[in-house]
Amino acid sequence: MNGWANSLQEFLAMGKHGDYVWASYGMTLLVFVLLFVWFRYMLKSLRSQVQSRLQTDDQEASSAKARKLKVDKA
Amino acid sequence: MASNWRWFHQLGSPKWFFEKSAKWLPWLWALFFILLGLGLYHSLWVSPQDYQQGHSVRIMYIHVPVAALSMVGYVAMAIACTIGLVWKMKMAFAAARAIAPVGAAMTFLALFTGAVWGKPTWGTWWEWDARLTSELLLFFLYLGFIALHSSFSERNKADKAASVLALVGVINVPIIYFSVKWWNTLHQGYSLGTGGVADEFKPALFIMIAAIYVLFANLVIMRLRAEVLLREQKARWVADWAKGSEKGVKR
Amino acid sequence: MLLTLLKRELMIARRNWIGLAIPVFFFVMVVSLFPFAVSPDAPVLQKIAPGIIWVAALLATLLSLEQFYRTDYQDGSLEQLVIMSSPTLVASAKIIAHWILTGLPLVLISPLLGVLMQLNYGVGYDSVAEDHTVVLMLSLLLGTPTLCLIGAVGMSLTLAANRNGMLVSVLILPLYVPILIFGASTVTASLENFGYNGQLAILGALLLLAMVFAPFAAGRALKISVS
Repeated sequence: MNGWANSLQEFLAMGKHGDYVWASYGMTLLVFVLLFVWFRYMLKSLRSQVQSRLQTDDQEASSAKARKLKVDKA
Repeated sequence: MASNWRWFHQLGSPKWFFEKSAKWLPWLWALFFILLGLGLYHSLWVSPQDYQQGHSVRIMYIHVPVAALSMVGYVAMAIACTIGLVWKMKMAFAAARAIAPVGAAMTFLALFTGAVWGKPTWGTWWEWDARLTSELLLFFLYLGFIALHSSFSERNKADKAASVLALVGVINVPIIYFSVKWWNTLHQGYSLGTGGVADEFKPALFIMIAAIYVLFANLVIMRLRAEVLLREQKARWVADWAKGSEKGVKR
Repeated sequence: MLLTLLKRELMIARRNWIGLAIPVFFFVMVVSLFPFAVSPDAPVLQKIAPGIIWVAALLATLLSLEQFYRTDYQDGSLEQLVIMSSPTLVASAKIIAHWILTGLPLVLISPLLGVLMQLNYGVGYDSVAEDHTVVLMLSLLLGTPTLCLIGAVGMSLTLAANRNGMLVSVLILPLYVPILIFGASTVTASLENFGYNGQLAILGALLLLAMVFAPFAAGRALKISVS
């Protein structure tokens, strides 16, 4: 199918309404990209939280084990 | 008979959802980009300009889908809240919480594109048009839901209280819409695109509606994955998943 | 049971009559600011009077909601009440008492505001039939109970929330819009010599609808908040 514009300038200008059309499409793109980045960041940061908690748990468990061994020896 | 409802119970399982949605998302994004490509091609290139509005009619291909989704989103949120309250299903509460920001974003975009469309059409950024005014109030309702949900220290209370608010809101949405419409005719306002859409605009519009629907689903699923993780962080499967994904990442 | 609860509310309120008078003062004061801000010209004031008085009534109701549950919640008696009877009953008694104590005074003081806002400008002093003040009172009489009912839902929801005062306003103001539209337009229609029965009927319908749904929603929310 053929489009309506003959040149890139004509396409971008859209008569007198280029600013309005591109502002709408641009803002929509911006909002959705922001949501995408935000939700992705939420998931990532939650995962690293869980991971760091698991690590500290491991450390605590091993140090508790070590302490217990000492007590046993004494 | 019982197996007919298995999907429902499975959806109620955070673990099942979290694992499955990871597999769905790439396909859904692929579908979205195909629809978006087609939709943009039609809406910006193929579809003609309007004999009255000129090229500004192309804003409709964004405005109508986001406005539709803003309302569908609110109803979906209220349905999720009902399921949560009646069947005490925790995933439904999480889903409602996940829909809220995406729906609010849709409402904001409906307002923004409506205003930008209004400038060349009405000669003003804002007209107290029935639909724009209803969208504004819908935006407030979404913000109220999010504000209420984030004001509790106990998640259980936050879920239930926000759900009651969503149900009160959904009863009010039609009342608000009709009263605003009545008020608007009283003051002889204008309205955008009344009287149906001409055939030559339909392909672009329908493809864009489909694209925005898929996008809405994708964003809600992404937000819901984060919400599930937040709620289930103490669960065994989350720990396993976090460890598993750690192996995948090279350090 | 409802009567017992209601009696209790009214008994307690007797000790706190200044707290109850504050929303009424507020209502009068807010309205009396507008001549300073806009213009003291009678025709101008008359034109904006319905909207101003209605918005002020709405804000006064909002302000008075602060007292809806506060003392009972703080001293723990609310929880006792909910356990002893049902949350819906407690909420209903609160709503009725609240309307009698704050909604009704607003209705009764509104003729004074009609005078201040020149509502009857151009109406002959002997023609009682065209008195717009009566219409204003009627619209407030049908509208303020709905405001209280919806406000009760908002208060019950935010009872256990970390932030209370502004939050409830944000939640319920969008829900107040239909009542504001029909309330103010009842009076405007009367000013323009149109029929206003339709608007009053819709205000009544909204009231009935709120009476059916709001006590249950408020009860449910109350149960969530105190449990």
